[in-house]
Amino acid sequence: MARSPLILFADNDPDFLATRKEFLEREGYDVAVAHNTVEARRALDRNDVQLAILDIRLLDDDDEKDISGLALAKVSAHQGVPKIILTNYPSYAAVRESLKPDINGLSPVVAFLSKQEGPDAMLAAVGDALDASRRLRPSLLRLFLPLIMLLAIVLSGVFAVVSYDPRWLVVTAGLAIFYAVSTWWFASE
Amino acid sequence: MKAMILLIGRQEKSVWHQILSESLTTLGKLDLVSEEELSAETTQTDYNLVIVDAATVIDAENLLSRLLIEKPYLKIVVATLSPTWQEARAVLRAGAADYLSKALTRRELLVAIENVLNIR
Repeated sequence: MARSPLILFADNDPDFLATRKEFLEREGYDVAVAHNTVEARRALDRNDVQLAILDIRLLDDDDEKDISGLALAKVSAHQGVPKIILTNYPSYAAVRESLKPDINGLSPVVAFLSKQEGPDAMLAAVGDALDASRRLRPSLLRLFLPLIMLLAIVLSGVFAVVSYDPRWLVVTAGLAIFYAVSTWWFASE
Repeated sequence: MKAMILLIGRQEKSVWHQILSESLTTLGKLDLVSEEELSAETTQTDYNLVIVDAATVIDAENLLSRLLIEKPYLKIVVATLSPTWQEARAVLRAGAADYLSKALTRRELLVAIENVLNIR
């Protein structure tokens, strides 16, 4: 059975964190929690997180200058992990910092949510972020698989001719059939 | 090279238009068109940047989507007098390159627009 996606949930409010963790687990996700930036960074460094949900104020809820969660979202080493920002204090400036594209045209986070929007809005954002991330992965497969397959067909064909071994012809035919079927499958998806 | 910038706003010149025009003098030329006058010809012109004055259009998010359907790589900035986080989220998700408050100083405005023009 396929493993559930692992979501990192970082929030310094332990009650809120526990409630939302339970909610996400009921929906079928594996959830790792972090109570501060150190724990969150450590979890992201492990490279097994598929999505991160980060509270903006991970250090002090009463400090309106605390944007530690957003700063963590911008760390380039974790750029491959899609991130959702969740906050009790949504502001135009925070949204701008989160969703505005950088010089490469990429936004630091994929979604910005207010905690007041509730767990269903969070669940929808999680679903959208994971879907978008899955759509990206097959595109790499689509790019390289045909090239690898063509190379394998050519090589086994060359072996068949050079070695006069009929088994290589069977291998070549098998690869060619697999190539045709996989091309059709990707095209029809 | 001087940038070509289009402001979609009221046809009669406003104070903010004046400020914008003066602030962006070093960056390039600012054309003004109202939403009603926005034609296919206008959108086909190779503008480096389009600034939408949210107060003067019916639905900024919708206008943004229409412009991006025609030109997916067009850089669009939405400016408003009263920014809200909900509108900021909506327009940035719809593909805006930035969402600005009209209360920005000339210097801040210039830096923000320069940053958008530098997006690859």
